[in-house]
Amino acid sequence: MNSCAAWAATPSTSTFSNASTPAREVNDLSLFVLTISAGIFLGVSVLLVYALFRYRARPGDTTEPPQVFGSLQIELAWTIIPILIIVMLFLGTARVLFSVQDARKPASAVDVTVVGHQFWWEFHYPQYNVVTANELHVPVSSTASPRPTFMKLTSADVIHSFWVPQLAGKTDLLPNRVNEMWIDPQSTGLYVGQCAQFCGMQHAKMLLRVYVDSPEEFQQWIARQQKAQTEISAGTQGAVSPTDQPP
Amino acid sequence: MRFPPPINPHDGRIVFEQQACINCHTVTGTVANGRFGPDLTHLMSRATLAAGATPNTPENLRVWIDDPNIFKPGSLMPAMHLTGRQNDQITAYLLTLK
Repeated sequence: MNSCAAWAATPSTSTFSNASTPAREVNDLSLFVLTISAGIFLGVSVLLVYALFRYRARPGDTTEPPQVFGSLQIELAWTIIPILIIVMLFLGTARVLFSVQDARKPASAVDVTVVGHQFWWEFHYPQYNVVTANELHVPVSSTASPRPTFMKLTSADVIHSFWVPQLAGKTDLLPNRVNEMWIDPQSTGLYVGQCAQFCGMQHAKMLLRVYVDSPEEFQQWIARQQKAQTEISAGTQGAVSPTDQPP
Repeated sequence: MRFPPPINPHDGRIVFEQQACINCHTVTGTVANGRFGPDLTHLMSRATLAAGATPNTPENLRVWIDDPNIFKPGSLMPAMHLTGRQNDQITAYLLTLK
């Protein structure tokens, strides 16, 4: 295939290579949780190995070790410290949940309705009266001029899941239900993903491409998509004469 | 000696609109207004075919129309069992949907 070179240069699908606020917040949270968990694991492991080594049975030592029956300090410590850790994890998680799920939609946001099908994606842009498929175009969003894309997701048949790892977590597309998510990619380019919920025989080839365009490119793309095909054919092709247009 | 007339997109459009294509596909501004399959109004503005299954090249497009199961076994788009010439014509038409 002649386009193999371009085809092979696939963008990252790593969840650790974030390009959008929801993905970054979830990634930061998971690193925070991982750090705390790793700290606990290391602390417990070191103490365990120390105790095993320090208090191992030595040849000739037949004395009974000290028998401890209850200790208020120790019991308080191993109750209160885990509670503090849990509270910390809970607050961190709740903060990310609310900041991602309850994010206020700015007036500049682009609305997209995503409809999952076996085995392709339908994208509607209600503000622009544009319908397209499989390749989503969104404008780049910066802190100076935020322009996030807010999506409503539903399905025409079975359950699908929208997942572009660099941009946000997965969101399921369910028949007869509308889920919501948003992305605010901060650099232009191509981001790829795929359906993340087994949806039938061709699930593995239900791929997703998100093009993050500069504001000008996005405007041009929208303008192009808004044109009905007859306007283009009549103007440039010459193959379809105006008299052929349906009434 | 007579040669068949050259393939042209206008004939492709007629084949497209006379076959079952328009039951599932929309091309805005024409009679094609099906909703089961992807909107093809600006097919050529997309880099891939069949939800990213293969790059959108004229050759791949023709293979896809001839038998969608080659790139995507289990695809819900049926092979329409058209003649080679009809496939060429439809391909020529779709290539104009920029």
